Amino acid sequence: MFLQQLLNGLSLGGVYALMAIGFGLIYNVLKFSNFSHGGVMLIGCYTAYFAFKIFHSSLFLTLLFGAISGGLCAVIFEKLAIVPLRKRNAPKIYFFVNSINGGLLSEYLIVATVGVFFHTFPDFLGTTNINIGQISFSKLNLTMLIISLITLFGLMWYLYKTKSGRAIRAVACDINTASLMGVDVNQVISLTFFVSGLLGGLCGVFLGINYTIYPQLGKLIVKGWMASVIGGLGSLLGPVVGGILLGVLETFLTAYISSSFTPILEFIILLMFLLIRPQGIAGVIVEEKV
Amino acid sequence: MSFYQGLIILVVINVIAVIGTFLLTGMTGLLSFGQASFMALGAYISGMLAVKFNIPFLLAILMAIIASVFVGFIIALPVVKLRRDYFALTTFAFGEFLKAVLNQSVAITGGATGLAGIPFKVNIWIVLISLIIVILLVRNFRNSKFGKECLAIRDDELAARSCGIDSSRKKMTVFLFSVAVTSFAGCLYGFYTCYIDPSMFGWTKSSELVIMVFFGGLNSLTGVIIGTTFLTLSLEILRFTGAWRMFVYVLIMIILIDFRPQGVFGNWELDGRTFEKFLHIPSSIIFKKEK
Amino acid sequence: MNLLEIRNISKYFGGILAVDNFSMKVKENQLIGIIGPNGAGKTTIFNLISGITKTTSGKKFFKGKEITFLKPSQISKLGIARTFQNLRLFRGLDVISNVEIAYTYRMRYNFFQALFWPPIVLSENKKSRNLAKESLNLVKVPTKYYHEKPTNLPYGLQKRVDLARALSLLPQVLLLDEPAAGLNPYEVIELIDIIRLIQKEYQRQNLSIILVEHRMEMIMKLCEEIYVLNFGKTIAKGSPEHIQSDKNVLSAYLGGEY
Repeated sequence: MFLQQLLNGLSLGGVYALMAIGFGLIYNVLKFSNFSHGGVMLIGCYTAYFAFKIFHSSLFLTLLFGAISGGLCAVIFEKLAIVPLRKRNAPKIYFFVNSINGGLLSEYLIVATVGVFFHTFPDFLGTTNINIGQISFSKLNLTMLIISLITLFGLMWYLYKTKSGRAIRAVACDINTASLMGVDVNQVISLTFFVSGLLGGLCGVFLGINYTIYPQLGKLIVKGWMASVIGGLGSLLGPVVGGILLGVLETFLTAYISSSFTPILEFIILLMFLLIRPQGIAGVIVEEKV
Repeated sequence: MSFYQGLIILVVINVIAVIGTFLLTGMTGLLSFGQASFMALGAYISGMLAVKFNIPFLLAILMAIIASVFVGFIIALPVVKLRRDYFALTTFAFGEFLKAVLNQSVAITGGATGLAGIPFKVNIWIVLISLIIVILLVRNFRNSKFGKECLAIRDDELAARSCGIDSSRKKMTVFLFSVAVTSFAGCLYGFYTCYIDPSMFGWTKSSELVIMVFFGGLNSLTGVIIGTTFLTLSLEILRFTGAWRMFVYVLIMIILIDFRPQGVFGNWELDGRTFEKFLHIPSSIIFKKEK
Repeated sequence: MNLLEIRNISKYFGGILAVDNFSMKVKENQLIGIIGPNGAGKTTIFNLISGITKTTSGKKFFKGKEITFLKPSQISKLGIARTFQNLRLFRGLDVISNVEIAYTYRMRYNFFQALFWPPIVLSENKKSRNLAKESLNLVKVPTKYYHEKPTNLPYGLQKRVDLARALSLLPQVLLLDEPAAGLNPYEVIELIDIIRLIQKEYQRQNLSIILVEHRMEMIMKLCEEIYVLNFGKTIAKGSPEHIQSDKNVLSAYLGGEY
């Protein structure tokens, strides 16, 4: 039973890790918490759902559809709400508020077009489980975990082995110097939003599969943020560690206590973390130099 | 009570809640994303005290405000010295946490079905007097050393700390004050609608409060009051236009922040300086000002 | 007893040793200079003294009491004030409010009095305003600029506002971080006069000044004792005449030929 829950937790943790990374990408590049990532997850999820309804796509195609629409959504948001602020050199707080607006906009868009009712994805891979010894866990969880891992490695390859990935990392280090070195910062930022949107859309579909499809799905971004806090921002490792820990923790809490008390305990644990180790497990506190 | 009186009461309660949010964000630059949850605390605690223990109206409100401030203190303590984003997201997480608590504690608070039977104690005069008192207190606060210190912290926290200002402590003070004001608005709400449930105080409401501050202007108290009145009235009156109403509303907000981030009213304030300009009366006659 | 004593403080930024075993004793009414090539660690020392940066090792003492682990706000309240190399004035406040800020911690009213009892707020505001005016007067900022936003002022005047702000802390130790940076030669001469004036005005309070500077004419004219830094190490210490002929100093600045 324990091992079973652990594996379920890892699967959920993979989703949270993806969420935290998508969120963290924008944070590292533009230095603000992009709340609209929740909206991106929401739109990705819903478009994937409708793609499925119309085309009866397989799991992989549905995921792909969700990811791409998430990426496009993120770029649209960037053009609408971020570019004008960047042009004015606005303080970070306005980016944050506009990202909140972005999240809300997605929610209201869904409510206005689709309505407030819940939807569900079908059982893509059938309901049979894989049994190894005493452990049985669903094909779906296993698939989600594998896809998360593949995506994670793909992202790492992209960031560290490709030219555009390196550009993203350069901008994350120092946006002004990067532009002096010939990097087209505006393009890179749009690209970062697209990549983060891909991750977000993918996450959104996973969340829709794991729970249900509902307009307030975007709120789950707070889990991604919690994962970032626990794991530490500023690197790729932090969100992954945080996401996995959070996923495992949540699964165990739900299994052994009850799902309704989980948000309560999570919040208390979060506060403890912020008190004791705000930079997270893998993070560093950067000292401000005068 | 006519429809219009009811509308005015709701608008004024909203204005008080937004003033609470404005106090925090306008003065310290901290975003609290869970202001609605402090309204919930105020409403639930004062409501429960009145319903279950028959505690009189004013005393219940006072106790609710004190309790809310205490809760605010606990959740802000770890984050007030950290980066601003942490504060916003912690308050958001708190909002979710509180909602879960309220939904679970069916026995005490009625859970998702809500708390009913709160005595009806609020009329238009009470809200208007409350509003005036809140405005006076906030104005005094902003004119005092706290006001200047907070602006300094907002501009350059490091330099402020080198000038003897304990920035974390000041941020906490302003936050607690804003919690008090917002939970007060929540109390008034409970005693007016006589029924409250957790869905009224969700993150949508919190976001609404924050957006209204940015609409009115981060630096302008009068701007925030006028802006909130205008927005709340518009939203109520346009309720019939259906679901697209909110979408358009948020879209307008995004465009506003894009092109006029300082808000509709910017830095303008209805105070001595405005009187000076319009009426050509030296403001020292009406308001004692420092020269 | 020394006013300010720094004992063997060091600072590592990651693997880089920015400040290596720096020690300094400051008595009352002294004017001490710290010089060195860029990157020598001078501003870091100021950051360490004022508490903005934590020391990796070493101790600091003010009037005999240890202040090594105090926060910047506590250190400035004790009486150590500083100016900034990049000004760091408060853009949202006008010039006179910028200077007043340094006095606010002394204002004698608390939160509840601020809310409910405006008269005490007004009387304290008056006191701080007068003090701010005195400071601005001392550093020769014209009255017409008092209600302007600091970014509207010419750069030289902005530096003086920063100085007035530090003075309003009523300090006993004043750390001046490259006050002459960006000034033309005439302004530098004015600044030298102003610093001398500050010393005179605050003599009764036993004010000591520590000056980090690149402009040799300022250092040589004003300072009684000079510390020379290079790559974080103190390579010389002494009177202006002494260090002018010290061979370590010359090789650090001029490249080892002398």
